[in-house]
Amino acid sequence: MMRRIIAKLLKSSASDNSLNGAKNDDIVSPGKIIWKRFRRNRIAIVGSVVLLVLIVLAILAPVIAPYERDAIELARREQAPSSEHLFGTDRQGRDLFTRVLYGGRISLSVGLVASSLQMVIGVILGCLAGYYGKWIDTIIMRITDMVIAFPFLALAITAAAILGPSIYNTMLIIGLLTWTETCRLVRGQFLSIKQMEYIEAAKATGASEFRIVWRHMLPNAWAPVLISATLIMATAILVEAALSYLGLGVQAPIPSWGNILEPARSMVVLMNMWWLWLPPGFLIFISVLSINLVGDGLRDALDPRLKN
Amino acid sequence: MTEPIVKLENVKKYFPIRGGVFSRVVGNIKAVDDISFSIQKGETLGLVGESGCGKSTLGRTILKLLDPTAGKVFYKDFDIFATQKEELRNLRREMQIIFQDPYSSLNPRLNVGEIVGECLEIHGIAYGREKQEKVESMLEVCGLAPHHRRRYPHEFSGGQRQRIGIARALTLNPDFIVADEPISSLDVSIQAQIVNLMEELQEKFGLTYLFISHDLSMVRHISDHVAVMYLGKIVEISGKKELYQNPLHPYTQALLSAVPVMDPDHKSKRIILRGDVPSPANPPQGCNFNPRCIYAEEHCRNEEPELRDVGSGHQVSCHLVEKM
Repeated sequence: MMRRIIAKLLKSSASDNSLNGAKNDDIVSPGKIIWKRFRRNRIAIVGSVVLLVLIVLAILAPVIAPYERDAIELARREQAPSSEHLFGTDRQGRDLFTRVLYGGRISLSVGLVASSLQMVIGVILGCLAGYYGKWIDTIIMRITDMVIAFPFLALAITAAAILGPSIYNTMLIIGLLTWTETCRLVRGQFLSIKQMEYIEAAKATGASEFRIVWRHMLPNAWAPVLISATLIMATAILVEAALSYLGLGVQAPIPSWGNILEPARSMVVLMNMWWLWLPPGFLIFISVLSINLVGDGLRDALDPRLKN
Repeated sequence: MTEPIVKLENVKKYFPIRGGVFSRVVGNIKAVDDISFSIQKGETLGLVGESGCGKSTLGRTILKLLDPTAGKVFYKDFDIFATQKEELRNLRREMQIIFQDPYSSLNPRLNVGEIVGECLEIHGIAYGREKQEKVESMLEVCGLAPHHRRRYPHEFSGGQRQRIGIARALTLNPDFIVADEPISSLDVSIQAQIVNLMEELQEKFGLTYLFISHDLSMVRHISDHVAVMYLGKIVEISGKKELYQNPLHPYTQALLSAVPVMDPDHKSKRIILRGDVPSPANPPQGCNFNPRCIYAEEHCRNEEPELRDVGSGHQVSCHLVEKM
């Protein structure tokens, strides 16, 4: 009961604030509306803050980390967490706290780069298919169908095995296998935007095709693309972890959250040395969760019709 | 008579109907079927007809926003359908369009200044500060305030949005404007404002309008000449006075009999048309109008009538004009 009342009070004060905000600044751009809606979504804000903290920690890893990333000290191997080694040490005696910090750099940047790569591929192909239609559309959509038809993880593992494990190959594989959704979204958006009269108006003023696509169509199509890009970033982090865990992704001594987990393949480690796998596993969980929360918040803010 | 600024010769626009496994063309929708007329400089040609008769398609085809199937359109001395890309871009400065739906005709992500001023950038006329000033003065001409430049379309009402659309069309200082039902999605009070604005602008800039509408009273108010369209064809075209006082085509007569008259004692003989408009994919044989025409004779079912001049520029496409 008490809770409900507090929630109500919080809600009313929140809406009051947003009203005042509108008065202070009288020009309401589409960007401002989106930001206002996003701000109201508390869960999404929590997600963004967590994500931001993770990113800052990853960027500042060299400053924060108490030890050298790859410093092996065999005398202190497999030690449980202590004041000296916050997360304990691994089988080579390397400080796990340090490695988890550095691992965040790799995991998050694999997610970011892979997601950006799929976005670029998906947007370009989606633009071509949606704008030109006809046979270009047919070819691109059949290619998309083919890529979707492959079992994702099996193909990713096979490709990683053939190309050889490395950070860049991991980014490339994930990017090349996840662009299909973006492509379909952009194509669908373009098909409907093409019918709008402002596109005809742009044509009537003599705008070039590039200008029409870049200035009039893409800005109106980017909302679902951005949403799916965040969700794909979460997927990419998971896939990177899976590949690295299997030894097909990022290779030691470079740490990633996935390959720090690798020792957990042994039953002894899994049962007796929780500090070897719990911190990286938890960080993967937290980062994927917060990215998904941000994605959901973006979806609600960018396209209120999709809510519920 | 002054010289025509726009001249249409046998313009056709067919939309192919595709069907079957290999999506072959199995038929055509004849949205615009063999239309010829001309518009004199500085005057307004009203184009009326019920929805689906091809009015808007014709307007867009004239500006080559749709690819024509056949025919020619001359603007001044330019053959529009034959011009190359660059030349057409330059011609677009002189020919503009105002749209029906003020909601979908403005890009929601751009502010008014960007919407109205974009054409200045495209044609390299003005950038930066100069562009801003031009946009502001054009907004003022169209009855908006200069500071509206920084606002976004969703902050405006339908009538204001239509003014923005008009400002966009006029920024390039065109000579010819296709107004594609510019008032049909607005309130009646706003309709009058917009029509008055268009008339003012016509006087100020010497504009020529092709005014597409299904509102006969509004067309009567604004037009110098009126063309009546039915199923992709012009059935009657004439000076405004002549057409409204002496309509010769049975379709025009039926349309005009449906216009309410502000006189309680007025007893109008309402001509009720039976049946529906036939599909433009499969128009009737002979005269397009014969299945619904109360005067139709055997002759009308077999032979297609031509647009004939019955004196003083009044053209009708009906076999039975002499009997009317």
